[in-house]
Amino acid sequence: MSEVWSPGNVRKIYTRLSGTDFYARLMKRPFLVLTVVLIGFVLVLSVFAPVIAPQDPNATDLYGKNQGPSEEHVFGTDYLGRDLFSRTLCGLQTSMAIALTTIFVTFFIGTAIGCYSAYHGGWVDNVFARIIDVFLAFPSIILALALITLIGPGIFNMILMLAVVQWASFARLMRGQVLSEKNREYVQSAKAAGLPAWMIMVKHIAPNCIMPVLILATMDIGHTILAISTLSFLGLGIPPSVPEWGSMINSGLNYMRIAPLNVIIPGLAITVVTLLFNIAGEGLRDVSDPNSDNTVAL
Amino acid sequence: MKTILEVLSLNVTFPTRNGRILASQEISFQVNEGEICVLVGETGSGKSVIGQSVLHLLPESAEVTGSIRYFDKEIFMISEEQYAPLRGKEISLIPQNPGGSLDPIMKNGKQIAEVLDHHKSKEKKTGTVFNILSRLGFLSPRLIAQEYPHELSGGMRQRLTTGIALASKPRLLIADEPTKGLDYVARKKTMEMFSQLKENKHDSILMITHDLDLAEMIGDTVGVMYSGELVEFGKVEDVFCSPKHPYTRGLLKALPRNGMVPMPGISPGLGDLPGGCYFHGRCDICCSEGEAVHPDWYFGDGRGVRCHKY
Amino acid sequence: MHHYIIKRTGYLLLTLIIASLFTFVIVNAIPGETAEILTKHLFVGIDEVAPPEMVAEVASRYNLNKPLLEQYADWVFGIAQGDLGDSLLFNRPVSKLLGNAIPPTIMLTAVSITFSILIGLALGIYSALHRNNIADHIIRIATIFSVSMPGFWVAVVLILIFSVWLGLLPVAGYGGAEYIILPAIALGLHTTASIIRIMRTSLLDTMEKPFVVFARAKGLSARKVVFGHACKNAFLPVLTVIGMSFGSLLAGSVVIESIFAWPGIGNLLIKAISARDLVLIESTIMVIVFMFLVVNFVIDLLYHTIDPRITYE
Repeated sequence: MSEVWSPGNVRKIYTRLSGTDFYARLMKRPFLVLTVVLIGFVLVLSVFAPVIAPQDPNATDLYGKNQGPSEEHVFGTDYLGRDLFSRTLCGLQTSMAIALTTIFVTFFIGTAIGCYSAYHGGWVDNVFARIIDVFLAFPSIILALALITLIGPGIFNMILMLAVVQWASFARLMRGQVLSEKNREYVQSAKAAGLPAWMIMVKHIAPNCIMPVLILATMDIGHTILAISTLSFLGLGIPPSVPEWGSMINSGLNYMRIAPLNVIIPGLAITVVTLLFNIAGEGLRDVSDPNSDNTVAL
Repeated sequence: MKTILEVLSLNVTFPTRNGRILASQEISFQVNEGEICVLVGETGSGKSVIGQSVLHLLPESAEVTGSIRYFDKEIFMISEEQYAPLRGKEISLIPQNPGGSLDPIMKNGKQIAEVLDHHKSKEKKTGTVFNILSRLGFLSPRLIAQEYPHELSGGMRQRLTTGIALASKPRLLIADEPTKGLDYVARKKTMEMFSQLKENKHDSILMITHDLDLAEMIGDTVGVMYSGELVEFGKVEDVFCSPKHPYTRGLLKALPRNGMVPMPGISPGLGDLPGGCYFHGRCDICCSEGEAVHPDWYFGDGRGVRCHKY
Repeated sequence: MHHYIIKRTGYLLLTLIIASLFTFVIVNAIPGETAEILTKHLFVGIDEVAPPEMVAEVASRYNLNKPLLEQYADWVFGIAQGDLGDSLLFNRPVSKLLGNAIPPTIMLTAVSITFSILIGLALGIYSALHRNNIADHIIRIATIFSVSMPGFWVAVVLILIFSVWLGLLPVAGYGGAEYIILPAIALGLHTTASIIRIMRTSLLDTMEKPFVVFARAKGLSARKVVFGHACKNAFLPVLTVIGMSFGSLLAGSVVIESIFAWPGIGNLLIKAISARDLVLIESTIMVIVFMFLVVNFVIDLLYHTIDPRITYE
């Protein structure tokens, strides 16, 4: 596995990318480049959030609760007097950490299973295909909710749950890709050369199939963030003291009339971050598809 | 014999992200009633654009000058509303790619019926549809009318699209690349079909093709296109037996029956045309003026050529 | 064709059975837990501690020590006889609770998807036909925003604007037309946006196809070309999206129904989960899965009526 991502190979992929069409097409879409830059900014922000935040997100001040914007509190305070701006900022860290971890795990498990299943073929593939179908028969949140009854709330459990719910779409996509690739000539020649199956899958087939799955991953980050916030909104995920946008909106519901920013701001944050990833995902899809030069907006 | 179609100094340019594409430059020719005029050229020579222009189907971004006259009436530089009564009724298209040109989710019969006069009753229209289908050679018109295009063979689809074009009894047919991509048998059948059309009536046809054999067999007059320009025009017998333009000569020499001698070089793309004669450098009688000076169109007596040597 | 229907029905049942097994296992996997929860619900109270002897007694009385598969079989037999057990939270038969909860959810979902389809198709077609117009740009920006907004937040903001600030509509509840408007909008926003986008893309794609060019060349009016040929052909991918949207609608209804106190299945499920009412949870999830699978099944069959080229092996 480490051989695939060796510096030599990464450089090869980079030169392959920049030498081609893909890079030129990317550069033609300044909005997309801007979006990618913004995502980078968001990621940096999420890493340093607790340091940047002007106030301690957990510092309560019961005399100053549910206040509007002021010099001290840019967005005002919540029902426990905590600074909304700082909590929102730190919520970014929470969301990104969980979302990225989940996507990472889901990506690797899903693609590994999909690839193996498709490559192996036969009854193995049939079994896995049925399993994937069963998982996909559940609307995602429902499955997550069912699992919560089993394992209870909590951050680690949430990652586990989301991974269980989302791996199937990656697996299905990867499986489809590998199924169409596995009969190509380069695979036949690799087999004829006696290369072991895992090597063929990892070094040869996977790099050719990976693009659509990467695009799915980018767009899935957005969905994951939405799912995380929804589950915490329902009170089924993160403990309410940890700043998380969904649970912040939930807590703010009771005081909606007097301190509406508490429900508006975190929701805006969710929307903006999800929006960035959605635009990036779609933009990547357009760039990698040579047929899409007519409907460019971003 | 009246002139049914006259094209005068047609210029069509497409502005694109990568530059300006000069698809048609100063195209002038005419078609007389009952004649079959064939425009031949390689892919990218701009011949399809002429067909689109006559049908008033150019994309909105196209920049156009020139004139096209149908029975002495201007039909090019007019609005869509003014052209609409002609399209599909007096001027029809037999499209390239019959399979793709048929709506996959509409029954065959209905696709013919659509072109018929919608004031007629349904029974009358159905009757007409069956008539057309049997005349096209379909043995069970009732069945065919109820089926879908994907249930027909390639040749049947070709006949169907031709039938649709003929259904409204047009006076001018535009046949767009009728033998493109066809295998030997289908090509032969298509050529036979056009022979029949030629024999039967006084159909005036403007045919656009790369198929020289088809042009020779069917055409009355022929125009040779190169890089967006007309480089030769005249009666089929004259042009094929004594070609004037070196490109035409090259085309004929490249035919399998003549030895399949290829021409050197490639034709310039329509977005990247040189200053002088476009054929300069590939020409067997290449001249020095051709490098910088663009040759004019010399026309007389029904015969035209664009070359410095005339 | 009939062969296909039979095959798909069989497949549907198979998936359903596996899904039910899956659900049952997830919910009841830890027998100790199940017994404990049961004890708490039935005897001591949810927040109390359940003494181990009581738990053991409950376990044997309710056959919780049997192998999981046997318990599953018992459950399935019960369902076949119409008995889904009694809810621990409400102390009423689950079948009754579900019976009351299903109609509101169907109503909400139906209203939501109808409006989504109507508005989605209209705006999608408009957007495609007036490409790169100002209106088109606004629509496209609005759709990508809508897809990025969490459903529950949309619901909350709608309540804030229309109930709290403007006082035009009720905050929550179940009653006449005014109660369904906000939930339907909140629920349907994502779907509407998705439909607009797919219809736009699909129609733009279709308009380039040779048969549309030929339809124009045939001299047909613009309306006939666009609506008679292009739109019908463009609709197939939209159907796929509609099918997929049902899943997110059902998922979304869980949240939306809770916020608006809409007495549907989603609401029921949330209450059941909060109270760890295992009996209710398994049945409710199964009903949702069943609805989802059936809708997809119907949509699958619809493909053939729309596109006669689609054949089934």
